[in-house]
Amino acid sequence: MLIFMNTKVFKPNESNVTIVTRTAQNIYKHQERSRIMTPPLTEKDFLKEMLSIFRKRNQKKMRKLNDKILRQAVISFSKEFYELAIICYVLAKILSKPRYTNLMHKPILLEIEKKLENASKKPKKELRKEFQSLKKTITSLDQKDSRYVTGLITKGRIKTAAILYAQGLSLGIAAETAGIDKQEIMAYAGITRMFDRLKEKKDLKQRLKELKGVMEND
Amino acid sequence: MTDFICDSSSLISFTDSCLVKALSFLKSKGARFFIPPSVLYESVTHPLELKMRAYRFSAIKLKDYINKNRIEVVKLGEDNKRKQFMKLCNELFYARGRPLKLVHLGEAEMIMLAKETGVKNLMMDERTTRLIIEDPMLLKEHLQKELRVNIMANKNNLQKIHNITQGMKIFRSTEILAYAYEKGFFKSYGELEGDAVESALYSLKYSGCSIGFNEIEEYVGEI
Repeated sequence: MLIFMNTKVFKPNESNVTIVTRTAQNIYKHQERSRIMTPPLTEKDFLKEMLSIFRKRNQKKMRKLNDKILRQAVISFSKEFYELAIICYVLAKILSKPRYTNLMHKPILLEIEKKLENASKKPKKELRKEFQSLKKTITSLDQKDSRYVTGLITKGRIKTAAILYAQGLSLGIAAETAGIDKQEIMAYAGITRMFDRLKEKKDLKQRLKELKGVMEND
Repeated sequence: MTDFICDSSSLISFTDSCLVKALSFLKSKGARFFIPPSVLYESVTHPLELKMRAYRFSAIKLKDYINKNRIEVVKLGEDNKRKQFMKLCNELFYARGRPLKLVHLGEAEMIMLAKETGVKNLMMDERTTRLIIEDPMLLKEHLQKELRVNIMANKNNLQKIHNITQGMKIFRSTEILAYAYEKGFFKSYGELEGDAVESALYSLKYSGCSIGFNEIEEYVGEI
């Protein structure tokens, strides 16, 4: 491998390869330190970002924000984050449907923006109340256009719980934190490919072999 | 007699796929199925209390099985044990210095019941608890990948969990069904026997059993 610097050609030897390696290590250490030292985003930070994205009506960014919130929700295990994740998901769905972003629904969309702004200024202990009020406004959007049978928020709750399960929380914890039943999460998770993404040591054939050993030896 | 402690996830898969008869079939082959009170609450009592009727029939089917002693309810001797085990699991992995709360009390109760009764065979469709027992490092890697943070593992808790769960074997509803098939559960279907087991496995998968599509395809390919 040749390293080009100032048009001169350097051949790698023990001394300059070590320097490159050490430099790479230092860069990695610095990055790790910055990652660890950077304080995690709070609910307020996410609300402000959500408001900014919602004002721009950017559905893709809203979905990416939802992923960020979910990751933080697992780490912090805060109910507020879970509720925020559900709201973010629902807002992303609203932005993805042109029928919700037309002029007819503008007053409700402006009300959503106002509520997001209010929530971002409230202390943490008042957030749940703000989220309830925000969900009410979102539901009123849905009621005017009743094509969604189960409701955007219920769908959001099930999907959020399934994502938490997919990320690594147990079924019981995902159900408890999202406020829904295990059956609903299982029914949703079952149709996805989440179980194909993680390859376990033992597959069906191996477990069946073990089961035969257990049943036939006992 | 081969004893199994069952989790609510596996019972939910069986009842939602209308395959709970496989359990009585295996009972006739020498298997016994037990559940702790928390599983009884999650799969029977709570759904019957729900206003949503979608899961009530599944709960009624299970209640019928329990009434006929095809599934038996066994209480845990000490309540503290399940809380202690839950604490071990919920302080196993750390992200940004905070413990990740991964396991529910009901899931912990099932494991401690198995430990207390000496039953080594567990029937569980839920993935996370299963990985904590079988392959905690795989779970750690998975969490790291999903959460995009460095995950630290508490070695002491890893060892304690290993000591408690050593020797425990976990089976999903799909393995139980595949074994039942090999013992003649689907014989009455005649020439449709192969199709029946394939469809039944997919039915369990779609009901939430944590099995991949490729696992079923591989097994069915060899039938």
